[in-house]
Formats: sequence, structure tokens, C-alpha cells
Amino acid sequence: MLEHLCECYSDLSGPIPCPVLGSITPLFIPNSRIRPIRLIGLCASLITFLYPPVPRIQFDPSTAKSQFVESLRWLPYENIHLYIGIDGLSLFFVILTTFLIPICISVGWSGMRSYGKEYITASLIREFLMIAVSCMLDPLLFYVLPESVPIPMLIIIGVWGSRQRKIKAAYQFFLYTSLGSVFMLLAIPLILLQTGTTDSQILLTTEFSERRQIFLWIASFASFAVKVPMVPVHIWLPEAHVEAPTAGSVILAGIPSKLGTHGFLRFSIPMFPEATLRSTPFIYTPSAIAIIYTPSTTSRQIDLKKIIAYSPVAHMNLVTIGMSSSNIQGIGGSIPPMSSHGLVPPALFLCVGVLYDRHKTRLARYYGGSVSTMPNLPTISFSSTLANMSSPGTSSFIGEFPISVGAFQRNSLVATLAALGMILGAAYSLWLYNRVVSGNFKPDFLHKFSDPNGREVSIFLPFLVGLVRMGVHPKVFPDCMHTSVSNLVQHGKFH
Amino acid sequence: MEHTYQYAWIIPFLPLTVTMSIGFGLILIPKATKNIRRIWVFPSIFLLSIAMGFSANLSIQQINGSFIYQYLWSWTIDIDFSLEFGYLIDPLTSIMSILITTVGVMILIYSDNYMSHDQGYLRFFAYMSFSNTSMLGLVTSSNLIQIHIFWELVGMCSYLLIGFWFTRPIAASACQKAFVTNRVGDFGLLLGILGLYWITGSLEFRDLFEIANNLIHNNGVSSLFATLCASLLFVGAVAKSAQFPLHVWLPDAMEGPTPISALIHAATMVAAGIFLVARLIPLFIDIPYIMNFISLLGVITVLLGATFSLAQRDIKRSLAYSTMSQLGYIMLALGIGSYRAALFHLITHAYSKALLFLGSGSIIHSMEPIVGYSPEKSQNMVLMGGLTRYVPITRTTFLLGTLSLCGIPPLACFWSKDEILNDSWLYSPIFAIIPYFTIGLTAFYMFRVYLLTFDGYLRVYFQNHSSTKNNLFYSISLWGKEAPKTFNKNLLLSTMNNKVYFFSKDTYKIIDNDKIRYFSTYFGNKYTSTYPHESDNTMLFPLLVLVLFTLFVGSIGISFDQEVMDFDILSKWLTPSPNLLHPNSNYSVNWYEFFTNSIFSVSIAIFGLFIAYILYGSVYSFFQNLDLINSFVKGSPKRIILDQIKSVIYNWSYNRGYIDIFYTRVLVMGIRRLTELTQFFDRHIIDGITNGVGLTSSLIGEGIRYMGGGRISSYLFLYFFYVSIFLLFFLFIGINPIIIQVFMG
Repeated sequence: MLEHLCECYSDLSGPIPCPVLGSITPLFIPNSRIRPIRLIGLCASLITFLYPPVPRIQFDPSTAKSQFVESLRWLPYENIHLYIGIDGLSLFFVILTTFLIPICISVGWSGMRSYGKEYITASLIREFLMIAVSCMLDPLLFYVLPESVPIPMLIIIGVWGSRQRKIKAAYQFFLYTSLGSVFMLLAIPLILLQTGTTDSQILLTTEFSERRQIFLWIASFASFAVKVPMVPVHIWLPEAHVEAPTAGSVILAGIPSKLGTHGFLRFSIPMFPEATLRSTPFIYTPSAIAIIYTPSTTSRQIDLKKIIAYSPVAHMNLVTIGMSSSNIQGIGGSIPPMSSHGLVPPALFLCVGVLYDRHKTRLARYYGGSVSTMPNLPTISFSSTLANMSSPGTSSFIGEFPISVGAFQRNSLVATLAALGMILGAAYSLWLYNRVVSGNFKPDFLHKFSDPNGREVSIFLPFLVGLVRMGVHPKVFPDCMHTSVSNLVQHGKFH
Repeated sequence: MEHTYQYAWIIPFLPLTVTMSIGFGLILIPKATKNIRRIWVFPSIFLLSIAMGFSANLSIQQINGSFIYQYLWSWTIDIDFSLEFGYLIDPLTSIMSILITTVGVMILIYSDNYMSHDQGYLRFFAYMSFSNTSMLGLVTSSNLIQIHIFWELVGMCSYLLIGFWFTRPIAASACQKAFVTNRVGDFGLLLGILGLYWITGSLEFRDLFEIANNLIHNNGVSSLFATLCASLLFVGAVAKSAQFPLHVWLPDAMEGPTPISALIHAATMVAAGIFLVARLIPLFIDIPYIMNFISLLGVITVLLGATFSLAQRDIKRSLAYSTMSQLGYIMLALGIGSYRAALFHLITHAYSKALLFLGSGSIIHSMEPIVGYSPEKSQNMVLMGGLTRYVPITRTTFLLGTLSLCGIPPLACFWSKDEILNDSWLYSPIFAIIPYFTIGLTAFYMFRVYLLTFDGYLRVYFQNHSSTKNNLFYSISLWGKEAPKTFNKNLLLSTMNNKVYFFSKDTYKIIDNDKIRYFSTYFGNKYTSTYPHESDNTMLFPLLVLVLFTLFVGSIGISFDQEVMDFDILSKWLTPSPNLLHPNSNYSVNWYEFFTNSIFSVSIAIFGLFIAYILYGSVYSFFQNLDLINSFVKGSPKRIILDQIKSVIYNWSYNRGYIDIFYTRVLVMGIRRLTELTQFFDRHIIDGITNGVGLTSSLIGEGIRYMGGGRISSYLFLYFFYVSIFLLFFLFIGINPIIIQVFMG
């Protein structure tokens, strides 16, 4: 019996269909009975959350190959199969996704009064797509699935957003992401043309000619750069964050922005190594600009959520710097920030969400001295703020330090600029924190106060535990991903 | 014996348990935790005392036969890159840890009483213990990455503690300013670490020194790059130890409670920068430029700190600038390579300054019931005076601390300061002039503080004059206390005319006794007590213990036996690093030479002291009747010049050398302008392009709508037009070869 259970657990067939089932079931329950629908959604996401730790235990860190591989014949005459599997790079994305969805559902527990059923369905479908994206080993599907992730996101922003501007934000979000992926769509037939398959294992061993590599690299870069987002095409992210409901921001900060960096890691770097090496300046320059540019823009914002919304741009650009450093510190260091980044901005967005629920405003000038009325929230937001400016002992530091080490070895100027972002980041994070939390209390604007209640605190706790756990004992990351990363570096013949 | 070394890792973790348990208690069972609040002090003091015992044991062992102990365990591992945690026990560590723990225990005892009526009593102790933890962790670090981690934690503690009374906007701005300024230092430190890692491939101190020195000697690395990395590391120390360009946070940091100022802004945290430089001295010593740079900055800081301290009205700010100046002395000593003198002064200064700060805390405590609880009033020396009568014990201890800091012989600071002065004289007479001059300034401003506080009569009635016209109460500015944006010269002059008599008492008349009685009765109605009162025994005990330290700690650096060189305890303590000791350490062999050297510095100090006494002392009232002084002072042309000089110095000092204003105007405004620019770019150009594309596409759609008018002739025309273009393209140009290449591989 137990063996049978283990067998069931040992592959990925669990976490992928589970959210699908969870999203279909509510369709048969009438809209009026919202409570069981929510419960079903929460249970489905929790069960999905319990799956990935099992592959984590059984995960063999000593090999760089994908594990728990399964294939599905899809278009046999075109030699296109569905391959899913996990390796050291994608394991953490799966865990992060399954961790964030139950939180989203419980954030929207009482907030989502209208269209409660649809909210649950949209969240679970999104979870399914995200897990599938992380596990996919096939470039074609890696085009199809990331393009479908924005659809539930669009619905969430458009339906449950707070203001009229949400329509514009949703459009922008959708159009930007699909603009980038047009080029990716061009690249895939080209790959098929040469290799006749989209199996990534075969693709990894294929040698593309240099000219073609550069073309393919640019095509994939255009797609991924929008998703990261890099600087000239970043505007959709703050806009979408501000207009999305709290739960939407949590998931938006947590996952879709990882699609771009994940794509770099999985496709651009291993498949087109020469092109990656030659195009390093094209990544370094916009990333370094973003690291200086976004904190400066942030300092002018007055909307609490927008201030936080810009910070992911700076952080993800640090990750791209690490990735294109093409050494083991840089690439290895760029993975922990991605998962830490799934915790830090969501925690901050939740803090803003708590304030917004109470006072129905997000303008910084109305807040002040909230520590005297709600002592617990500042404690929580202070921890997250520290993590946001990558103070040691929190999860962000674990990645950003190796990234700086890696970048410095490649190009010390870029490392200097990245470190300069550290000062600016501290300045705007602290300023935000100080404006909201300390100083004089403003009774003219705010009347009613209450500290986070039990449900909210229990939502925050996993974030805080995760932040400190990753910051204090980060050994689990290098243990799991070391082989994959060094394989990546060796494959690229970077040394 | 080995056991002490094996279990030395426990030292930083001992205070941490208090922080953790108070934190969990406050979150999980707040009521019960708050009910037993005074009891929490015992474990925190007890655990820190254990840490003190540990470090005392380590120090004794280091003195008797010192060796270096190191233990490492890995934190994260890659094949190429490993981060390790470990601890390193060597003389420097033992000195620092005994310093931190002794001062820490005293201040914990003191703050039990000082903070007893504060709402955040428990929070205070949690923060205190955490800052002790991070400081002890810093000094026991064995590699640069660990230094960096604890460095930031120390900065965070300082942020929390400066902003302890966060409901005051000034405190909130001050802590932000401290953190951001320290971040500038961290930026340098991080880059320096990265650069050194790039050069040497190691972060471990001993490997790093070995490899780096080899490389430098064999020209394996360009000296320019090595100097750059070293100076970047030094930037970290500059920010933390409040050296010249980045000192602006220290005086503002006095917004925190006084025990904090005593612990982290006088004795321990600001010593972190000194510690870093001392730790990296084996690296720096091979790069002559950086050593000169360190000593130069040290000299500048010595002078600036002393001059800024001259006209401060806030007792704690005055002491803060004095700290800055004394840290400059230590930096100078490190820069000229006299490692021993630097550490010696670090120890003696820490005890003396902690004593002074605790004394000022006691004064503030006694003033608060009379003048009110705002730091604008209770720390204002203008409102003090004549406290000798009311707080005799505090006064004695404060006097001893003052004398020690001035460098008056039997007290601690004399021995160390004299050593620094001697060494700097031997190093270069040009460098030595400013430190010698500053001795006089130190004596002057310290005695000014002492006299304004304890001498004369209580001047509470100035309260009505002291302006609280600042409008800071509703805004938190980006950069500390907002400096006046429009620098109104007339305003400044007018305030100067009002306030100049705090600087010297030319227009100051003797206070009538009746007057003071009148004012006291007036305030007696308003407040509970009429006169300042001496603090409780719990607060006096640490003061007395620190007095003992101030009296006797100098003896560790004195060689009693003239025959044996390096017989004194400090030299024995530092023996494993003999190459770091200054080569001409035989200066103290001859008592006679020592005496002649010191008589010069002491006479300068006494001169400064005398001037302060003339300007501020109550004895001046006797002199006023003498024609001699009057004619000297009132010679009309001289007097004007004198006044002018005085007002220039006063303005320079009161406005902190205009450095804060400069920073506000240039840096803060510059960054603000940059952010406006980027915001404009973001809003109007990047978003504008998107909107423009949307608008164009809808316009095109509008245009095309007219084209599809339903006329078959126009459709046909377009059709043939495109076909002909396509045919032409194929006929004459052919297919672009590059496109073929891309698609055919």
C-alpha cells in the first residue's frame, strides 16, 4: 500500500492534473454556495502544494539530467512530443508556484465578493499553467504555455482590479507580453527546420551556426526581455501591479516575471552559448540602466503599491546580470533570488493590501505613525523591507552576493553599478517604510485601526519563515542545483 | 584552556537568546511578557556577563601566551565558490570583545533605570541585546563575507535604536539618514570585498593577506587596482566610524536614547570601522598610498570634529562631535602604522566616552522633569548650569571623564593620546601639528560642556527664548533633519545675534538669585519638581564602575619596569602581531624623555582648559570687575575683530561646517532632480510610445476604413499595384542572401 502510494507520488502526474481537477469541480456547484467552492479551491491548491516536497526528497542532486521525465505523443508526424520533467533549475519554481497559490486563494477569501467561483477557477488554471511551464522541456510548449499564462492574469486584473485604469493596465500587460513572443514564434519553425524535432535533449546537443544562433538568440531575447522585464519595455509591470487586486499582485510578482529569466536559463544560455557570450553587453547595459533607473523612478511615486511594484524590475535585472556573467557564481547566484523574489515583493504587497483593506487608500501621504496603532504590521513590513534591500540574513542576500561576485569577475563596472543600486534601493525602501510607519500619527485622515487579524498573520507567517530560513541556512540551493548549473556552464564552454 | 577556545563561538549567541525570547514573548503572549517586564533585565545582564567572563578568560589567555585560533564550518558550497562561517580568536578579537561586553553590561544596568518609564522598555532590551550580538559576531568573524553580514546587521541595529522613538519625525529622519549614509559605506565595503576576491580568490583573512602581499611584492597585480580595492574597503570604515566625508549621520544619531549613544555611538559600533581597518592592517601596510590616505582623513576628522563641537548647544551632539574627533585620532594612529597606540586609545576612549555619555544621560534625566521631555529642551546646555549643587556624584564622574578626554595625566586617555601624538610626531611633524592643536580644542570644548552644565546658575528661564519654531513635525524628509532650503543670511545673522552669548558670555549678565527663584516657583507650579535631582543608585553604579575604568585602564599601556622592553600588558597582549607594532616602540623606555614629551601636550590641554574657563566659568564674574580684563576685552578695534572672528567660528561650528547644507543641496537635490527626470521619462516617453502606437494604429484603422469603400475598381488597382511591386522585387533584387543564410543555416 505504502509502496504504491510512493509510486504515485514519485512522478509529476500528481501536481499537474490536481489543479485542473480543482478548477473543474466548482463549475458543477451553483454560484450561491460560495463557501464550499472556496474550500475546494483551497484544498486542491494545498494538495498540489504537498506534492513537490516529495520529488524534492527523491530528487537526485548529483545529476544534471531532468528527472521524473514523462513524454506524451502529441504531434507524432512532426516529431513533436510533450516532455515534462524537473531538474535542479526548475524544482524551486514548482515549489514556489504551489506555495503562492493557496496564499492567493486565502487572500481573496473574503475580499472577492463578486465572481467568487471564477476567481478560484482562474487561480487554479493559472497554477496549472505555471507548473506546466516550469516542467516543460520542449521549446514549442515553452512558447505555447507562457503565452497562455497572461490570459488568466488578464482576467484577474480586468475583473477584480480596483479602478477604471485597470482596463488600460490589462491591455498593456497583454499586448506587451504577446509583442515579445511574436519573435519567439518565428524562431521555433527555424529550429524545427534544422533539427526536425523540438526535443530539448536533442536540441542541446545540436550545433547551430553562429549567424543562426545570433538570430535565434535575438528572437528569444525579445520574448524573454519583455517578461523579465528589461528597461524600455518594463512599463506594463508597475501598471499591472497597481491595478491588480492584492492577490493578483502577489501572484504577478511571484511568478510571471520569473518566466523570462527561466527562459534565459533554459533556452538562450544552453542552446546558443556563443551568441550568449557575444551578446553579454546587450544584456548588461539595459540591466545596469534598470538598476539605477527604477529606484530613481520609485522615489517619485506616491502610490504605495507602485513604489513596491518598481522594485521587482530592479531585482530581476540583477538576476539577468548574474545570468549573463556566464560563470558559476553568476548563474548559480541567479537562481536563489528568483525564488526569494517570489517571497519578498508578495509579502510587501500583502502589507499594502492589509493597509488598503483598512483605509481604502494607497496614497503614501495619508499614512504615518501606523506603528502606534498597529504594532504587528510594522514588524512584518520591516522584515520584508530589510529583505527588499537585500540585507544579510534574508533570502535576497543569498543570491545577490554571488551575483555581484560573478559580475565583478566579468565586468567590474557593471558590478559597481549593481552595487550602487543597493544604496538607492535602501533609500527608497526605508523612505517608504518611514513614511508609513514612523512619524506623527495623522488622525485627520485615518480613523479606524486594527492590527492584522489571525487570518492575515497566518498568511504572513510562511513568508517570514521562508525569508529567514533561506537567509540563514541557504545550503539547500547549491546542493540541489549545483550539478545543473555547472553542467550549464560547462555545456556553454564558458571556461 | 582549549575548551574556552572551542566554545568561544557561543559568545555572540548569548545575548541573542534574550532578543529571541523577548521577541517571541511580545508576539505570542504580549500581556504576560509585559507584566514581568523588569524581570527581563536579569537574563540579559546575566547572559552578557557570561559573555564577558568568556572574553575575559580569552583575554587572559591571550596575554599569557597568545595564539590564534580559528574554526570554520561551511555555509554554502559550490565547487568554485564557498562561503564559510567561522570564528577567529586573536588579540584584536579579545580586546574588542572584552571592551564590548564590559561597556555593554554597564550600560544594560544603567538603562534599566533610565528606560524604566518608557513604553518600549522590552523592545529596547531586545534591540540592545541584538546589537551586542551583531557587534560580537563582527569582531569574531574570520572572513570578509562574515564581516559584511554582521556589518549590515550592526547598521540595522543602529537604525532601529536611533529610531527608537520613531513617533518623533526627527528621530525617524535621523535613523534613515544613518542607514543610508552607512549604506554608502557598505557599497564601498562590498565592492572592496569583490575586488579583493577577484585578486586573491579568497575571503579568509589569513589566506587573503598572504596571497595579496605576495602578489603585491611580486607585482602580480597592478598597484593601482590594489589601492583602489583597499580604499573601497576603507570607505566602509569611514562611514561606520564617522570619518570626514561620511560623518554626517553621527550627530543626528543622538536622537536615540542616551544609553544607545553611549553604547553604540561612542564605545562599540563606531569602533567597528576602526576594527575593520585594524583587522586589515596587514593588507594595508603594504600599500603606502592607502596608509597615507587613512592618516590624512584621520587628521581632517580630528580637526573638523573638534571645531564642530565648539558651538553645539545640545550636550549629546557636542559629545558626538567629540567622539568623531577622537575616532579621527585612532584612524590617524592606524594610518601612521602605530597599531598599538590606536588600540590603546580605542580602549581608553571607549570607557571615558561611555562614562561621559552616561553622565549626560543622568543630567538629561535630572533636567527632564523641570524643562520638559523634549530633547530640544532637556539636552539643551543653554538651559542647564549650576547643576553641581543638585547632582554632585554625576558631576564628579563627568568631571573625571572630561579630564580624561582632555588628556590630563593620571587618567586613561592621557596615556594613549600621548602615545599617538608621539608617534605622529615621529612619523611626520606636519601631520602632528593639527593633532597637537586639537588637544587644546578638545580641552576647550569639553570644558565648555562641563562649565555650561555644572557651573554658574540654573538658566531654565531661557526656555522661553529657545525657539521651537521648526516645522518638522509633520514630515519625514529624505535626508535627515531638513536643512534650510533657502539659506537666508539675514535670518542666520539675527539668530546669531540672539545666540552668540552662548558661545561666549560677553553680553551675558550675572543672573540674579531672585530671578531664578522667581522662575523656579513659576515652573514649580507647572511641573512636579523644582530642582534637578540626582539619579538613582542603579544609574550611579555603572557611572562609578566606569570611573574606575577611566582611572586605571591606562595602566595596561604603561611599562612599569624600565629594564624590560614591552613589559606592559598591552604589548604582551598584542605579541602575535609583533610586526605590526611600531618599530620605534622604545620611546617609553626612558621616563625622562616621556615626561618631556608629554609636558608639551599637557600644557596645550591646560591652556585650552584655561580659555574655556575664562569664557564660560563663573569665575569670570570676578574678573569682570578688574580693569585689566575689561580694558583688554573692550579695546574697541580689537573687540570688533575679535567679535568677527568669534562669529565666523561660531557660524562655522554651529552649522557643522556647512557640510550638511552642502550635502542637502548637492546630493539630495541632485538625486531629486534625477528622479524627476526619470519619472518624466517613464511617464511621458516610455508610456508615451505605447500610447502613441495605440493612437497611430487606431488612426490607421480609421484611414483604412475609408479605403474599403466598396468600389471594385480601387480594390483591383491595389491588387495589381502590389503584384507588380512583388514581381519587380523578385526580378531585380532577388532574394537577399543574408536572409537565405539565416534560414538555411
